[in-house]
Amino acid sequence: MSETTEKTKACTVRILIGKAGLDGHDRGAKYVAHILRDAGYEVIYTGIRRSPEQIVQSAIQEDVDLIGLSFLSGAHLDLTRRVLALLREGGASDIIVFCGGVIPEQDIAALKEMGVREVFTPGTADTSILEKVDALF
Amino acid sequence: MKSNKSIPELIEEMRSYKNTSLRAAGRLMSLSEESSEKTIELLRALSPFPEPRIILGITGAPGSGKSLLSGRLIEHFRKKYPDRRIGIIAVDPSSPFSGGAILGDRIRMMQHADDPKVFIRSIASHGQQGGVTLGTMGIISVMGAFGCDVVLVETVGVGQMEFAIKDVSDMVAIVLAPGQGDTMQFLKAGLMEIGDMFIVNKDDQAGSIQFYAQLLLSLRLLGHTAEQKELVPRVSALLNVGIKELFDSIEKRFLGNDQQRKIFRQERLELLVRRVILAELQKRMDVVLKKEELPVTEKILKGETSLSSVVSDLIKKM
Repeated sequence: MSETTEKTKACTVRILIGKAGLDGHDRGAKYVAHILRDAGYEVIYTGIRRSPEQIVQSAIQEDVDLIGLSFLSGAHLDLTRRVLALLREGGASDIIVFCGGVIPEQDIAALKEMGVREVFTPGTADTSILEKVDALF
Repeated sequence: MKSNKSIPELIEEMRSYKNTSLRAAGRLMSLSEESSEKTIELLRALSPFPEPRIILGITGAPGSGKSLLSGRLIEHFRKKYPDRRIGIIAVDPSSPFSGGAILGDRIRMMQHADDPKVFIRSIASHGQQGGVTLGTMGIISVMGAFGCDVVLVETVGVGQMEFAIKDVSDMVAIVLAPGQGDTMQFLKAGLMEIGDMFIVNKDDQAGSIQFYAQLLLSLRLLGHTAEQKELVPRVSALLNVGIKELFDSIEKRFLGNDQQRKIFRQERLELLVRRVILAELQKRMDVVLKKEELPVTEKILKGETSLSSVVSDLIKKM
């Protein structure tokens, strides 16, 4: 019984996985999308080279609980700042944002200061990602 | 955590067309998916507001080009009516194992993702849960009240048991492509019977004319004769050919045809009543079954009573 309740709970949690900016490397984003799906989440995947505007409008229309942004390009600080600002403008600052990808150690604090709740760097185990995402909401 | 605004508050916020309206519309759609009670409450609250002029179902086998075609229809609609809104509901299957889903149809329509007049909502089919149809009806009503003139409902043509596209759309267009079988396939495919329009996509590919001819032949056998050609348009979503003509013929079936639309919606209303009754009865059944001291199966297996008497006793308790 508790298992079913657990499942229904996860079932209604929606996560948008997006890649912002000029960055064509989506292997990590797709991998995370798959493990989240297999854990019972509804994952909306936006594909590569999206603008912060496209990502935020999609997230609001889809009424997601979380947004996961994937980066390789090095533009994570500017793009994430823009995403968070657009969420505030749209009255959606309650949507939780986490980041992943090639993000230098020294930028993690800056991202978290902006309001990013979790940052996953390459090599993070899938179980660790699931555990931390699960603890976010 | 998410705000706990009531349905009327969210509707007011949505219809004020401020920067937070989109958020309110998205929230209302989630409520519609939450439970049948919420959907019914929502439908009641939305009844004073307009409904979409056209609700078109688009279905077909995976790979026939539905999402790209929907993208083209959005593009054409936004050019034809720059001031009007369009809504798209993309239904993707849930995993029967984890209950999770990857909703990826948006990717084909991402060029519209920052167009404020295009509202795209993805929903997962949720395997066993029969409530998808009702929830989708609620989402369509939210889109109507938000000002969507046209709503496209897109879904894969397989596993239709849980999601009946015909139940939510005014008309259903089935997207086909050359290479998807011959006359015999058309004859045995159950999907073909729910179609009001059969779109031959990928008309740029070899074998398209033969495919079209076979399709026409099959449809005649199925008894479709009138306005045959318009019901079987040939398009190429890839090359953007035939989209205008396709949209015109869809509109023709609705423009000035209030009578037809009334019939469509009346039929659907009847269906809605049935769905709500079934959902309610199912809930009562679960309650009654839970209250039974002994599992019903045990009584029957012991031979104390028959299946039919157990059933009629239980129904009386509901």
